Amino acid sequence: MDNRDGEILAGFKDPDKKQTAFSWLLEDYQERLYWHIRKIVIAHSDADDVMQNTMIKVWKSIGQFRAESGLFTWLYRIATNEALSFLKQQKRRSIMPLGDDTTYLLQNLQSDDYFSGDEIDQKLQEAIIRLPEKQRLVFNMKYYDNLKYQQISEILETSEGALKASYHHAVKKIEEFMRLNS
Amino acid sequence: MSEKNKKWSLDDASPKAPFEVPKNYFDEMQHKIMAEVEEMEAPQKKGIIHHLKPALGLVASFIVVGLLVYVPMKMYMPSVLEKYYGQSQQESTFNADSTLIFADLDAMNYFEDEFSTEEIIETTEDQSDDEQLLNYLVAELDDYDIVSLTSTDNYN
Repeated sequence: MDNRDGEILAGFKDPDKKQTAFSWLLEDYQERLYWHIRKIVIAHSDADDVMQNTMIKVWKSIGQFRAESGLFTWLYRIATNEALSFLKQQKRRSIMPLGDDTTYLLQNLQSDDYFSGDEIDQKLQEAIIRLPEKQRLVFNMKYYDNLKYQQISEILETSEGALKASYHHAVKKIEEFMRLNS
Repeated sequence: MSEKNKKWSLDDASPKAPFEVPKNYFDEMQHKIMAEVEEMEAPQKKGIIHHLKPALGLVASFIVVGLLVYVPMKMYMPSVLEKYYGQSQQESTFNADSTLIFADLDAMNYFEDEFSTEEIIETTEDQSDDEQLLNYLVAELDDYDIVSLTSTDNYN
């Protein structure tokens, strides 16, 4: 745990500094968490909702943080869970086939006003969306966020070996999809 | 090898997610989240109604239960109600009478304690009118005794 995280956590223990500590936490982590969530739910409006839910949950449960893992890991875990729960809720509300949130995400990709990529980027995102959930999470965290397997392992509570295998499969599937659809 | 069949590699893509956000989004988001947190932390003012709510709820439920019993009984079993209330009225008449009886007994006890039997008989026989009685009381008793005797509080 770095000094800044220690300062934030110490602030949360002092009732007078709690809100200041929370603003420090937002300054340090909000962008990274937002982009992590955005890559899972794709649409900006959805990412905005999930981000707010995540930060409110962090505010409410920071007292239970036991520092067994790093603050960064803990925040990423909450954000991941919130994003996946959001997708499950959307699945329940829509008439999508059971267990399939690919259609919802592809629609979001097509309609999102804040997509800035070209055609290749769009195809790549489509390939990522079509991956199984775990492979998609691992691919995003490794390829875009450049996290170490050890960090991903702590966030997703999965062994490093399994994560390496998931990433390898994900890359193969993406390259195959791109080869066929470019 | 044609362009179509060339093996596509992740190296060909940018390792930056092709998404963007509205201008000043992160600044606004921080303010929005902080405002929400401050609102959650602000102590909520609780009025007297809030404190009386459980008691009022209890009273309301008693009234509802009472009405649920009383209204059907009044509609379908008026004789039972009449019988019950008749009894109650008799009981209250008895209670009122008994209060008077006990008040009289208190007064009698007082006279027995203060005066001998002869004095009481003599006094009651001599009372030919109210004026005589008043004169006697003024002569024999002080103001406090008179007030005590006339006050109904002594009998309760």
